Amino acid sequence: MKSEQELDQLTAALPREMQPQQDLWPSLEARLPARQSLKKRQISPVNRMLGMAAALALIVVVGWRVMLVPEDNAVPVAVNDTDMPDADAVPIQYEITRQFETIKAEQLAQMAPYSDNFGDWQYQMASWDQAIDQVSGALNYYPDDPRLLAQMQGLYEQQLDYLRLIGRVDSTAYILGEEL
Amino acid sequence: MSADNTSAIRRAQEGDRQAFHLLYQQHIGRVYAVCWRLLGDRQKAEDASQESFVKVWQSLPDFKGDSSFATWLHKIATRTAIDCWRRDKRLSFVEPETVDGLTELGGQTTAADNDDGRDLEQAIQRLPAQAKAVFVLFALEGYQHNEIATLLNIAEGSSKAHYHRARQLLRGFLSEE
Amino acid sequence: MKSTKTSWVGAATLVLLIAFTRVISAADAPMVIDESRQVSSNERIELEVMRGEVVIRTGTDNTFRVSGTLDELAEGFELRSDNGFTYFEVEMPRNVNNSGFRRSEESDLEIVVPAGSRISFIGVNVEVDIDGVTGGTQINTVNGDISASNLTERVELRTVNGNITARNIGGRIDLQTVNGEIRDSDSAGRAYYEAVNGEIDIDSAAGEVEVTVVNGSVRAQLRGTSDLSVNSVNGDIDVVLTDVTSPRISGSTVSGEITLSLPADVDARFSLESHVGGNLVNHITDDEVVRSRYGPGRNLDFSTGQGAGHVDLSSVTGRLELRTN
Repeated sequence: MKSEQELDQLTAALPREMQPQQDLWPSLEARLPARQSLKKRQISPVNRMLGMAAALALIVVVGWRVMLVPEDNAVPVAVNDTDMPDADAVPIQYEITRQFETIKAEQLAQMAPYSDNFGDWQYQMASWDQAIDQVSGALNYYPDDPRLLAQMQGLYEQQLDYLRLIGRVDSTAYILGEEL
Repeated sequence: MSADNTSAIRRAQEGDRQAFHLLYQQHIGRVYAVCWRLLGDRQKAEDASQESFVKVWQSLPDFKGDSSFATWLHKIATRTAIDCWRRDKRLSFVEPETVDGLTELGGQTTAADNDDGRDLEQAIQRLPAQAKAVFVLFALEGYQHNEIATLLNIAEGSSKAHYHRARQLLRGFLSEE
Repeated sequence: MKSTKTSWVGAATLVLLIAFTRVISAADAPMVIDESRQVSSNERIELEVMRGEVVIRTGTDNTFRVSGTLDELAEGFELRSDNGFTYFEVEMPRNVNNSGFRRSEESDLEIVVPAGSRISFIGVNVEVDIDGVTGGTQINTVNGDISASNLTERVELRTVNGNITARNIGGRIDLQTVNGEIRDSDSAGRAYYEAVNGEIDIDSAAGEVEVTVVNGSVRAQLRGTSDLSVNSVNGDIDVVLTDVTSPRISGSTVSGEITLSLPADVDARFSLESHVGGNLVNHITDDEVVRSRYGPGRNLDFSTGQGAGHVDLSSVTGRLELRTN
């Protein structure tokens, strides 16, 4: 039986790098999505006076415009690019971002970095964040596109549901009669 | 060299693919190594390596330069490899020990330059799935057990137990004729 | 004098040792349980088993029965039953160290219920296997797989880390996992599936289906599904739909692929859209993709037959593909 030291020596001698047998770059390059220079998400400084109720109320007001995803109307909304948006109007996407980021920040502030039950939840959140960024980038081309806005909202809601689930599950070592 | 690197990173962040190609060349060796060791198969390792770099490309804007780029990139690659490994583990009902291609090490010519090295690579691929993952991450990739627990979504104690078991099994395999 | 003292100490130690050993062996013996109650044929049953394995089966008489061994750390159990409502719980101490030094024995229970009852189950680290309940089922666990077959009415199976395997479920179905796989076969009714990290594999005859996946793929073989909604963030979705000519389908993805395979005689209006350059592939007709003039988007709009149904797919960067069976 090989000894512990021998195993350690053999392990230490294993190469840390291995080259693939073919060059992966050509097909990799073809898969790289085009990078738009994304406008930095404008997260307004979290207004602590803005209670959660107020934030939710605003979503309801903004939300009815967003939720108007044409369900039976299969024709996509034609984007009329010759209309410049009113300089004073805040694009809806920024409203959505601002509302959700506020709630998210509050939720995140209550969370421990690591969860016994969920493991690396921040990595999971990052994957949603990335998707939100992609939708955001698309919205720069097609602002107010209902499908994209609905998608962004959906992604934020998924994130929040996930955070809330972690909160509920992790807050007790044993859940007494509460639905998860 | 590190100055060039910083500029390559910055240019890649802005969308410069040639700069990213440079970064790819610098890091593919380590990325492919962890993918191959976790997945035990050349095709899967290539797919996982590519997926890792696509993720790195997409995440580049988030890299703040406050930690080592190599560490940051490697973390993404490890997570991607683990995701592939997890998917792979669920889909296959056959334990790695019984897969025929293993004698050729999943089609990969090992980089190990001696018999002992090749034996160890083979032995690692014979380990049960969880034990192999923990061994690769701890002994070869340098993660601590608490980090491995997070990566694999297991308890820290389990990680230590798997590592211990992996070592016992490896010592046994290496002593076989 | 000295020797007496020594022997006193010795005796005391011996007594303590014996007492200690008694305590250990008492704790070592798991509590066996075998309890029955007469209940109604459509009893509402609530179960709470924190850890272990639970098998739920149906019996031919109106009896509720729980048998097996209780968790070694359990302080007892609670079972009350009257007026059509039965409650069973394995009572555990408030703080249970799950990654404990020695692995203590968990609950191992078989619960038999009337077929028409309605079951609600909650647990933390527990595997559940349930079959034959027709009054409705709700299972919530944190870590552990759920295996379910031959259930009807409202069926809700949720786990955080675990796989859900379902077979022959009919009614309103809701299967959700955070990390794990969902496999569902031979279901009917209305079905909702969600996985955050994991795969979903469906072979279903449900009339309405909604699938959501974040990181993970979806493979669905659907027979006669007239309303379908698929959503993914990064995962790929592959759907084969048969036996329905004018389906109502909507799908959206951020960077995953959606491949939709439909009957050759499909009768619907099609609208596909990718916002940032995802490929749109059409194997149903010769209609071509139109590139947006002012941005990287692409559209594909066409109609087959009378345009009775509709297929709306959208992606940010992912690929959308239509084919015929």
